[in-house]
Amino acid sequence: MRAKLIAAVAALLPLAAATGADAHHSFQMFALDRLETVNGTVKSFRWAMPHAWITVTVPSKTGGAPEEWGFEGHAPNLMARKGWKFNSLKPGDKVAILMHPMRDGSKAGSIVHVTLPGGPAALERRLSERPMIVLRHD
Amino acid sequence: MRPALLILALSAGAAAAEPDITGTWDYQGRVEAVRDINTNKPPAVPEVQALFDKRARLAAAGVTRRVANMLCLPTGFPSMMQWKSPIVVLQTKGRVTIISEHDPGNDEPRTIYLNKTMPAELDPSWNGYSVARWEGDTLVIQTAGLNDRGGVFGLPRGESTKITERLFLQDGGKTLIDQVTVNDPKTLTKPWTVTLKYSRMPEDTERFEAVCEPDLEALRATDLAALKETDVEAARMLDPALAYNPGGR
Repeated sequence: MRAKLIAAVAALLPLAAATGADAHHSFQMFALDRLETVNGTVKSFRWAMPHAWITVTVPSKTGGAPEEWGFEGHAPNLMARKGWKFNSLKPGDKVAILMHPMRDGSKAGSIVHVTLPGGPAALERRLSERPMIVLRHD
Repeated sequence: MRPALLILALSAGAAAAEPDITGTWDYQGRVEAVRDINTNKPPAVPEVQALFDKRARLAAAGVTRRVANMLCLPTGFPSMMQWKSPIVVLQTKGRVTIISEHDPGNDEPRTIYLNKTMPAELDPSWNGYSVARWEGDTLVIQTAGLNDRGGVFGLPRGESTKITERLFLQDGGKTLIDQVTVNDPKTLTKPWTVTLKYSRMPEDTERFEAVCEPDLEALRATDLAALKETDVEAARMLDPALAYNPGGR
């Protein structure tokens, strides 16, 4: 899945103006005008440059085998300022991920926020003028 | 004796009145073009406009990423001061230091020397050589000695690039403004000003490591020859005279 995403990066359009010209890649592969929520179980959490990744096991809607989805975050230093830490997620965590889906329909997305059940509501934050990834608890 | 004492008293007073710009500052964007990068376009000379047109054609064909970005080379001044992550400004004796947390490039700290004159000869560098003095509440910074590898707000740069900044506080010290005026007869028909805005962050704001990881996969997939006119690092990689540590081979 990640290899597929990396391959897609080569064919990207210019970055949105607000993000500057030097990002690691464009976010144009994601449908930034669409928002969807995916519920599943964390398989792995990669907290590393250039972007954090969450791999999530998602039950099949058609009753088939569970699907594996990948969700891309920002650089860890940017996410850390929104309350994330290296150990914010661990395998087995139930998560709801609000994300911009891939334009090509593949099982991946750009994270807007991740909701964990049962935590303090204080972590919840609204999206700001400069949308960034937010970790929140219900 | 008395006049000397008076001068001493005056200069001590002036020093005490310097605004406190030390702190962690969150970049808010360009004042002229926070949302629309197409406003406040540079008054580019025809050669540079032709370069922009070539880059636009490449972008339309899907080629947008710079080789410097794949290699994690520094972005240099002024790019190192413009990112989603904050900058740290430190005022110490004789200098102001700006530390970047710019993750697409492994940027060096930028040193601005106070009350020093610009050296006549400069070794070109990513952040250039900066000298400054306080004019009232404004720190006026002159920068030269930029290398020809990084860019200045998308413009090529080099020995002919001279930048003047006017750095000052607003909103009772909550906002930092950096008016960056670029002078370069090789790229611009007249001086061009871009204004950067920052918000003061709390004193306990932590700084995070943001070490850029080279993307060799993307580099392998890049046609360097197709980019040599629009990407200085692509051209450098194709130039045997600029090979990495040539004497060591």
